[in-house]
Amino acid sequence: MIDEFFGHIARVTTINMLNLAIIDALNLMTPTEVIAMTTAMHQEDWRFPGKVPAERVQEFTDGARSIVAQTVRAMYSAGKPGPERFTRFMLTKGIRIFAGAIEPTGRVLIVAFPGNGGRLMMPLPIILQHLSPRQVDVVMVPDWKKANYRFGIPPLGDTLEEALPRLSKHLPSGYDRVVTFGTSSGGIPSLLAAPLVGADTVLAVGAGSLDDVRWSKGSGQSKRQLMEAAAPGLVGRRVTLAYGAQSPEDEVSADVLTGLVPHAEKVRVAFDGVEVKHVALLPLVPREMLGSFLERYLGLN
Amino acid sequence: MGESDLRQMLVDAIDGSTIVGLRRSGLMEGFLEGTGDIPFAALEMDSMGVMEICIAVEVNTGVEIVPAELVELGSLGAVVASIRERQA
Repeated sequence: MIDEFFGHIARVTTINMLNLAIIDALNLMTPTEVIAMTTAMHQEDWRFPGKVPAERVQEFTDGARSIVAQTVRAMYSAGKPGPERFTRFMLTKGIRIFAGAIEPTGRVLIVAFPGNGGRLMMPLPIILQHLSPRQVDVVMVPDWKKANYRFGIPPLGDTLEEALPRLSKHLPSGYDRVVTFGTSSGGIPSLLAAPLVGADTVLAVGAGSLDDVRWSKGSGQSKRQLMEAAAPGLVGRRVTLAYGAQSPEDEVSADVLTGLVPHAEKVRVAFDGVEVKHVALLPLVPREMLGSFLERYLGLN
Repeated sequence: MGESDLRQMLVDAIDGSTIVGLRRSGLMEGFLEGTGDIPFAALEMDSMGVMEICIAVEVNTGVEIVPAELVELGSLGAVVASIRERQA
């Protein structure tokens, strides 16, 4: 992965394409890989590789180091002595598992639905660093079309009602528990998926509106229709709907969802003197609270 | 790409990004019609969102606006104007 990444950035010629390459890499890398990458990039003699004009090499070198350093700093907020060791495998096209161990017995499978950026409100290595590979494996189910899942989960299906039952067939079995976790536009899919994948717990953060007008361009049922059909299947499962205290739209969405899932617990993420908007998980990181938040609401204690 | 196409391109790019404030702002229709602007403050946009807009502009128009320049522009209308100026 590291060689692939450095080979990729050697071909970029603009800052924006460099940023794109790094964003994509940080949606896939494990904590161990990020540390290896940043170590290589901070060697004294490391200079940005490739086709960049000589006068811009320093700008590109600094830019690459800066973005990765932000991720590494956030990883350190987990308070662990070294990077957590997860191994990435492809489960099926576009869907990867980040496995902490081979043996599922006694462990938890997290089925995660990221938002449009392909991430759970932050680069994946930060999330993984705040989890324990001895306790969990994480399956990432992104919407590669960046269309709020309204075209399903290609190639599993072009609608969620088609894709989610197929997803469950690709998931590994044998875990003690399965949980679903979705952020932003991944929030509703995490709720819809829970009964299908046998999850006992759902954590949806900043879940979008059930009446998102963009879904009228989708090929399946509306989010509201899907949620109304799925709601009875959530009875008996722990459901948490978290939202930023300064995101009134997300609070309204959580209220609407509790109309369909009355036993859901609403969690308002708030801090004195800091606005917590849609990206409600991110302010937890520098306060060293992300790990305990995930433990509590995914039931990882 | 004409001005209205550029406006639509930006709206489509933001719809496919991590930025959530566009539709919440209530300003999108006026922006698409060319009768209104959308200040970045209304977009609830973090550094990731800034990078995503810059990437979309470059991929769709070939114009390179780097994140620091974009922030200075301050609004989506100014981004459209900047692209047109650089394409002229």
